Amino acid sequence: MASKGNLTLKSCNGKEFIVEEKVAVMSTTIKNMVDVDDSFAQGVIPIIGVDGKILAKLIEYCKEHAEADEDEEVKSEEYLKKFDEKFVDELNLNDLYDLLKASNYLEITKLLNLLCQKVASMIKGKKPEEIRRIFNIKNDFTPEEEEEINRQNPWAF
Amino acid sequence: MDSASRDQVQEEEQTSGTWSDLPMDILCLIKHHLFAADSAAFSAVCKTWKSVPAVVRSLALPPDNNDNPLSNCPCLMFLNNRFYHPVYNASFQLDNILRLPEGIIRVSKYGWLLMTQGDQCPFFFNPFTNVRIDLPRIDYKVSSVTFTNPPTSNDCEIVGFSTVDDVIRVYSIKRGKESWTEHEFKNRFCVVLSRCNPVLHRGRYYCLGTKGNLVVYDPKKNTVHRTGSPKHIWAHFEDSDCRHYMLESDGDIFAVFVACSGRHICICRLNLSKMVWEMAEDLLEDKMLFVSRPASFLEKALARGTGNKIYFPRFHGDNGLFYSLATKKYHTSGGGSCYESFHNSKERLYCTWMKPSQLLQFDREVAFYLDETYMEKKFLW
Repeated sequence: MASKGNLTLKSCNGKEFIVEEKVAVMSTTIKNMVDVDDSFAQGVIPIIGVDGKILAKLIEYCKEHAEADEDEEVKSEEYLKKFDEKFVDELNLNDLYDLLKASNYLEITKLLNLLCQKVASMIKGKKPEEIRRIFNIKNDFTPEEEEEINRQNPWAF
Repeated sequence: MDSASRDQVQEEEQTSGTWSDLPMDILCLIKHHLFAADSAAFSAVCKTWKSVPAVVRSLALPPDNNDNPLSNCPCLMFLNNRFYHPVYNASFQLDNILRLPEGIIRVSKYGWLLMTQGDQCPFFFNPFTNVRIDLPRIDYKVSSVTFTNPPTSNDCEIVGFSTVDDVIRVYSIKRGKESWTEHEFKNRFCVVLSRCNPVLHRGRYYCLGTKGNLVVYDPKKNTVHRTGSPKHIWAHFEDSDCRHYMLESDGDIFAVFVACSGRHICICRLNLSKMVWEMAEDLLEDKMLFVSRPASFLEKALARGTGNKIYFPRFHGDNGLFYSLATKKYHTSGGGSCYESFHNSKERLYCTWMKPSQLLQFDREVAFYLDETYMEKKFLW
């Protein structure tokens, strides 16, 4: 059991992480659970649908940001910006996908926004065909539908 | 479950999830970061991504994130303190701005507006500080006007022009002076000045006539030159409805002529040594051209698909209108429609494009005065 001020998070594949409460409550979902039901604060919080690898990543992110929120002098905005950049640059496509879904489910707004920006930056400047290739998406438009799309926004392509 | 079979489940879960069916909330958030052509490309990827609704942006403030190139986008400013952001296709308000005074915005420069109430009561107004500087009355109607420096500078001079029959009149007033100085020149070729404001270039004022001809005023020598109409390059100057815009960019003077409800558009560069207009269709390639009566200027394209376009102070409903030089058609920022002319759109008259550097600028000199002495926010000229 976690000591006072700490919470235990359990991934869907059974990995347990003991984290400081201030780190865990960066997630609005966890914060609501802890606020509503005191027993969560004592016991283990199951994080459904998030595996150990992704949960570790989430905690890494939240730890940096929770500490920065607490003491601006220790971690400057500049430092956090660099951390964020490195954090998203090191993700492979699968991790990016899983983290997107996990941060959405856990409502870690800052991280979700960061990841969405990353995805947007991968889309910027690309043609639809290139975007499909990057994200491994099947083109499910009929030729007629595609033509219609091109007709509607001729200035864009 | 042992850990191996758990990993297997995990593996299957991973492959079952695809980027095309991310939760709608996430897709919306991603699309929120995409503008213009990038947003259109996003919607053209697959059916699910296409079903992500158009982003309705409500801006409380102009975007101020330094990483966001769109925070550097010019905005259209209205008298009722609304700003329109052409790439976000959204309006916002600024807290420190009250409603602007009644009147017509004649010039917008250095964050200041030169306005007139009636034809004869000109004044400066700074929308960001609410400072108003009333100017001496002027007895004639000027068709075009500009000023040389911010009105808080001792070097500020306002210079206005009008043509009446065979006379070109130049009116000017320096900071601190109580009356306007007037000069008359013979208008032998009967140039009719357009309402497009003059461009000040290397000490000379270039005023555009309705037929594309120019009147050039040199205040040092107190002389006026004129050039002929470039009818040979463009026949539509004769259109009585032709609109004129002039701007300076990188030491060059450009003019934009818009005729027949926007069906014909001509962009010219002034060849300063020969004093003739030359076609400059290549001007816009990676640039955005903003045109309005009080201010017209060029900016580097900010997001993919925003360049090579002319942004007008015109709207279809709430959607801003722009002209694409690539398609030779008008489109709305909301997307979806093409038009041959702007004739179904509404021109907004009481507004001006504002450069981003002016948007949140607080004139230091004014701030000083406000603190120290002038609480009424009314300055003397």
